[in-house]
Amino acid sequence: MRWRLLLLLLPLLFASSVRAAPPPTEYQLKAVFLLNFARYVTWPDAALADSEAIDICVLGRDPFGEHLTGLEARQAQGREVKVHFPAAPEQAGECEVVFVSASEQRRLNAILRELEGRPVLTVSDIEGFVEAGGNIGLVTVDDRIRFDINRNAVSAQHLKLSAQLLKLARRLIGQEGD
Amino acid sequence: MRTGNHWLRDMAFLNQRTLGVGVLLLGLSSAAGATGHLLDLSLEELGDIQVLSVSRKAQRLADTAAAVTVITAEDIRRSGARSVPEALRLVPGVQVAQIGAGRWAVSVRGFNSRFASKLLVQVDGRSVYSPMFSGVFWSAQTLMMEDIERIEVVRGPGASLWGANAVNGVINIVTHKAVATMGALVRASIDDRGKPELAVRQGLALDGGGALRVYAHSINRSAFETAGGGSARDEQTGWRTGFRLDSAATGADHWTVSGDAYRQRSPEVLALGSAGSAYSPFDFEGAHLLAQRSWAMPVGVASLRGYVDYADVVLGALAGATVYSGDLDFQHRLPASGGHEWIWGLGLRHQQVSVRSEVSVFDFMKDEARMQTFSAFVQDEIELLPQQLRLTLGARLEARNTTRPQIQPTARVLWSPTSRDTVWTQWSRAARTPSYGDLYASLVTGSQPYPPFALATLVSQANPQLEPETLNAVELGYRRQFERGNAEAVLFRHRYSRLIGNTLGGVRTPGRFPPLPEVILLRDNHSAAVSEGVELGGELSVMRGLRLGAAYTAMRFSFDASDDPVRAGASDTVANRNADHWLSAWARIDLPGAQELDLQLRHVGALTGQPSPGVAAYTVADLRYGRRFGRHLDIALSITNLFDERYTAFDSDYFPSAYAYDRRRILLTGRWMF
Repeated sequence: MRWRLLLLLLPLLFASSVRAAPPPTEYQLKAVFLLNFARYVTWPDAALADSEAIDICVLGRDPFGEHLTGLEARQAQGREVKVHFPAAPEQAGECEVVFVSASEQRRLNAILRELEGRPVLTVSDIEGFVEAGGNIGLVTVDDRIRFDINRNAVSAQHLKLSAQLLKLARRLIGQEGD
Repeated sequence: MRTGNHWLRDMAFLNQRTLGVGVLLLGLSSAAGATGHLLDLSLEELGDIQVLSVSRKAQRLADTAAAVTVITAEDIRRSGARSVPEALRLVPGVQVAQIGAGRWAVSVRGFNSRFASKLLVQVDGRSVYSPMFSGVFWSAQTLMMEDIERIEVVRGPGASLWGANAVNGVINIVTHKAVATMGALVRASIDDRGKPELAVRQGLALDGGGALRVYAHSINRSAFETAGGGSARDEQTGWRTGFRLDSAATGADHWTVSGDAYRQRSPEVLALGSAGSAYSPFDFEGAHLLAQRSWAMPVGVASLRGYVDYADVVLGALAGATVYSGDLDFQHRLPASGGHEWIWGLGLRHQQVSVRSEVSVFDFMKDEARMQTFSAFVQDEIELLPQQLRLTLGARLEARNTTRPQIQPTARVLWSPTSRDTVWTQWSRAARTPSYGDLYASLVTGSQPYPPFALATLVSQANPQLEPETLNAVELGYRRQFERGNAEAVLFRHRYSRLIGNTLGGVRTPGRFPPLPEVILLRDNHSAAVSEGVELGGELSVMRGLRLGAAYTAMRFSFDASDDPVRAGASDTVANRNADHWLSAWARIDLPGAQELDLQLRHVGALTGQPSPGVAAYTVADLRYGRRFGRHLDIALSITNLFDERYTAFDSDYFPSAYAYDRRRILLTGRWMF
């Protein structure tokens, strides 16, 4: 029985191993998405007054490693991008983009509450993130990265997203912001 | 019958090959890992890039000082699981044995039984543990599998946070928010014995950002076989319908209302000792209504949950039991400050059990009982070294009108030397309060020779004086997240004391089935046991479109020796229902053209000392082939027990019946989403 099973499995292994370029890892691509989101958001003027750079912050355990810090000094909206790792959500209020790491799932409600009303774009790949009141939720579908947007939550953070971003979203929930 | 050795050798072979391929690919891709070219792509183009996706389970759990495994919706779909116990086979430490078509024995770290008394199972925070049977009637828990967002399995005591009966473990089933199940879904399936099933679900967006879903599905599972090859007549049929309503969510504020109603029938041929056997349908019906709200407090976030639940089981003309529950639960999480993160809560539960029995096999001291439970818990997570060392202290007080209040403390240390490694250790004390069944129900458990009598009826005798059972548990765990996967290893030792066991309460002649005498096995609190073992689990994305996973458990479970032959016998019976090792391994393969191929192997070691012909070790392979046609339709063909191994996994306890055997099953499923 077992041999039959292996015979079934092994050709598949080798068949699918004959591929060209190896794909990027999930967080390598997600880091690029973060940078791109920063390019399509309009912050209130006051929010960008505090520093020259667009600050991308990671709350919780950093899943990106060098993939995100490697994006530092890139530009978004004519400003430099800086990556920070605040220890607590109350220190993340000055960031422009906050990525909530999957390790923070249990604290998600408290984090969203802390950032509520601040001009901060919240992004995460925690399941149910947009449903819980997050702004942009990253989802992996068929090994591709997609994103959902909660428009109520985005307007509650006093942010505007470009029409192109909305168009590319897999799912839009909530009403159109005013 | 094949031996475990063959099997292990074959597994080793499999590992060598797949590891070889994996290592080769790891080498290839690390050289070409530059992000550069991705930066030049538009957002639209980025959406077309395929990634090597890795399960984020370990990362999500990286901050948890407990042996937790999360089964995702994707895991459930690709495993082909049609019930919660099937999905639980993917988790190390969880012992899953199918007794019959709808009958299961599921436990964590020992004490496997049709009613595992030390395992808490809840659905969206609602306990489905029956105070009547001290366990879960899995036949009645026929959830719509597409509604499940994830199943969190906590091995080891979770009592300080989760509460009653969370002694060996907690299984926490979380369903999707309604907003995540928009549109219509119709699932139709038919198995190779001609049994069809149908499920329908509709999700609706509501004004103001909320959402509603309603669903209904039927259950129609074909019977197992008897030793002689005939039907075990235990086919499971029934239906369930329900809804979930979610408010729009912004910030911390949202509320949910959900409810369901079900009927299930799961007949079996009961072996009534010397009284022969009786074909008897178990008829379950139940309903619940649950409301939950969370909101922002001046400091932190609070949530309040309340539910009412009705569950009724009728055992043909023999007996019946009804349980009404009402539960209110409040939780308040304070924001982290000064290195401390507090969470506290209060709970109140009222349960009313009423029973009826028409036969002398079941005998109840009280026809009705009311139980009130009050509980309070507090937990503090203390950051000793930022991002590196964390101490968690917690305790729960539980007071019930029937027994002394119990304090259940826990202390956990979590060390994260790097952002990828987590080491944790914990000590906990947990208690299980005797249930209605333990206190007041007397049951005939079988018949056996009892010198000088050739045959005697055994009766497990009620004892309203029983005290809570207690557990002291220690655990050491290690989790590592790789770029392409994750792995975990956990060592545990559970020391149980004041366990409910049996001692000789006397011999009555004639007993309730004359001319046989009756041996009375009185329940008391004087047994003790140890379960210890190792749990290993891991997943690996070998390459795009190929993911492998495995879960392995080795466990030693033994009771303290006793001079009392009755106690020793009863202890052996409980211990012998546990295998000393089990393993599952799976491969999820994505083929071109939206096709999926999923292979799963499960091996469980033999159970010793079971009534003839016994429960031998078994190895079973399951295969699933899925194909998507456009956006609206997918078809799957699942073959469980691919090589048609005839096996039995468990000898039904509490309600004894003859062994039931499983054979190959083929299921064709179509799913339309529009």
